[in-house]
Amino acid sequence: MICRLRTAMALVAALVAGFWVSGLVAFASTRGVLSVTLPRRRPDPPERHNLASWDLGPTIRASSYHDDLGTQHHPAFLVDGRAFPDPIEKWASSERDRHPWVEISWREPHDVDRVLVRHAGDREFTEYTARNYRIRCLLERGVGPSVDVKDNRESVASHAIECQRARGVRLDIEPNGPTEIVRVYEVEAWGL
Amino acid sequence: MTRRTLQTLGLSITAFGFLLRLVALIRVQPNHPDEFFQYLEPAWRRISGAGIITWEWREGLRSWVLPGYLGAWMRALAWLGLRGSALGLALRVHWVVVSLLLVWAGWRGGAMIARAESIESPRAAPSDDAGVVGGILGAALCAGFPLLVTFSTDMLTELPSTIGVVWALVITGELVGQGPTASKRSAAAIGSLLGLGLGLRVQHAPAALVVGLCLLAARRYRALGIAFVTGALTLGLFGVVDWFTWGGIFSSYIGYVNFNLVQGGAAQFGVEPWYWYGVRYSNRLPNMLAVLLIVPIVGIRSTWPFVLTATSLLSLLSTQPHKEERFALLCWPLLLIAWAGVVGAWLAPRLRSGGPQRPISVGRQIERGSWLLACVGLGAGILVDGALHFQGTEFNLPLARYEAQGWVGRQADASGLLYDDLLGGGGYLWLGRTFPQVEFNSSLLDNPIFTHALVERGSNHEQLAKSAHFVEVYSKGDFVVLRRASRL
Repeated sequence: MICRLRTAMALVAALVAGFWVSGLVAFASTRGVLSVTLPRRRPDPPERHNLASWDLGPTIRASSYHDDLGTQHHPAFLVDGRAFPDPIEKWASSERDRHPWVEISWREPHDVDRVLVRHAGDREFTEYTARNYRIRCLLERGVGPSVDVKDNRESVASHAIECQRARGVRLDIEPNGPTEIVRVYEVEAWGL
Repeated sequence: MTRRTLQTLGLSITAFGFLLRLVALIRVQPNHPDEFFQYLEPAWRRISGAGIITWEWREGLRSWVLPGYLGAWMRALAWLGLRGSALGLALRVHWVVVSLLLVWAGWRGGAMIARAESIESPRAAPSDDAGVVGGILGAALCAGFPLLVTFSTDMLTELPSTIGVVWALVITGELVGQGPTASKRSAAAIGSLLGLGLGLRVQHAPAALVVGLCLLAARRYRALGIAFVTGALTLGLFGVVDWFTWGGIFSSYIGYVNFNLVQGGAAQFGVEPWYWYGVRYSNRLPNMLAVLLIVPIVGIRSTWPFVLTATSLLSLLSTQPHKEERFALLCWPLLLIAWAGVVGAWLAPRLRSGGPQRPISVGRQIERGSWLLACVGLGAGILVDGALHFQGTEFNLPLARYEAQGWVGRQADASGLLYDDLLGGGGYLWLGRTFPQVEFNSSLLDNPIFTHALVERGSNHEQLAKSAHFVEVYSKGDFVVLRRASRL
């Protein structure tokens, strides 16, 4: 009886250990990318509109974000449509992230004609405005047209980009210096 | 007692400990926000990309070993469909199961000390009666001592380190008692357990010195060598993990010691007088502390490794400006086990029956019953005194807030949470969602992403939220969840 109990316990222990080791392998190989999908509050209007608007239920993915206890600059702030945001209401990348990017995708394909980026220079110091970045159009499969921005000085920068049946846009932003982070208040993608 | 009776008894005590811990899990508030923000949240952030990072993690002062261990469980349990507060609760239940290793150590330690003590006693019990009585007492005290029960639900480094160190001391005592035939495996286990204990909590280093002293005094040089090598190898694994994660061998430990000891940074979190632990201990057991301390001192020839580890740890911690009760958690099981061992050795010969040929008289039966009652009464007194004077811990972390946070995480239409006290919650793991949860800020009430606010009932935050057209949708204890009315 005791012998059988011990065998059963050893078997359970081996199963639990195997379960945990599988979890450990999965954990070690994971590099979580923040992805948040906002609930859809209204359908897309028929006229030209901001496809990235928070109430159309976009999904925002970001390579990192500044996630201090008191100052969480979450990437969802990029689409909140706030005209006069508080300094916390921006996306800021992590200090360790030297290749920050953010993707905003929407639920159905749309034609995009313009991307507007409200940089931190609009609300804070002008030197916070990102100088160099690339805007890429995301398609159902792969990547569409892109715009390379060099030495940008506009705190509210509007970029023309013609992209048919786009599912989203991606911004790869180069930090302004080796110890700098990226700060962006809003991204709007205009189209039909 | 037959082997079967002993096994039943051991299982019953373990089940008693498990039940108490489950009650604590459901009824008692978490002891420390570090559980969530130093160990769970970093692991969850690695998995989901969402999580709050504390300055210790930003500066690289924490090892990835415990978050890695917990992260492996998170991934594995997520395959079973667990997330949010349900995942957090499952992790805490698993921790409770792990904590029962201390009950087992209490049995083995109490038995080991009782055997050693009864050999030295002129009224030595002829069989292993002393070991049995000491073991039962040790297990029961470790199973039921209130502070151990509540800390058994918290995923902090103190508990696994305490388990490792206590087991190392117990096996050392057993090894010394075995004579020269002691196995190499026991010596290797001692080293590994100490390595684990010190790797998780470097402050427990005095235990390693005591174990070394113990083996040296017993002239177990070979065992000492094996324990040293396996201990160094186990500790080395912690260094390797640092190398992989932070880029330098033992870099998180070096940073930790540098900040806390060299730069004196620990003082930023509060400075208490050197006698703080004494006051705290006497507050925990105002009536029974003397009983708990005197008995191990009476049996010091057998209990010295336990008593010396506890006193040296307390002395070390008392030199530090910042003090917290959890830092000295290890002292409690050491004292309880030492107490159980000495009392077991003392009680066993007094419970001895005359054998089947010599039935014992009524008077002797009454005497036996009285001794048993007195000793069990003292043990129960320690537990009851501890329960009556359990005053909570340094932090006010009401359970209701965690439940309310978990509730918000389950709402499909939630897209942002304003939170009255981020440190008082379970972080992004507990929320189970990746939308922003940010410290309450009235300017954010106008931000349409924030659909929910978790605040204390009757607070200024509640008034501000209501004036911004948030309405109450959930309440638990002193806490309410408000939702933006326009979304109703």
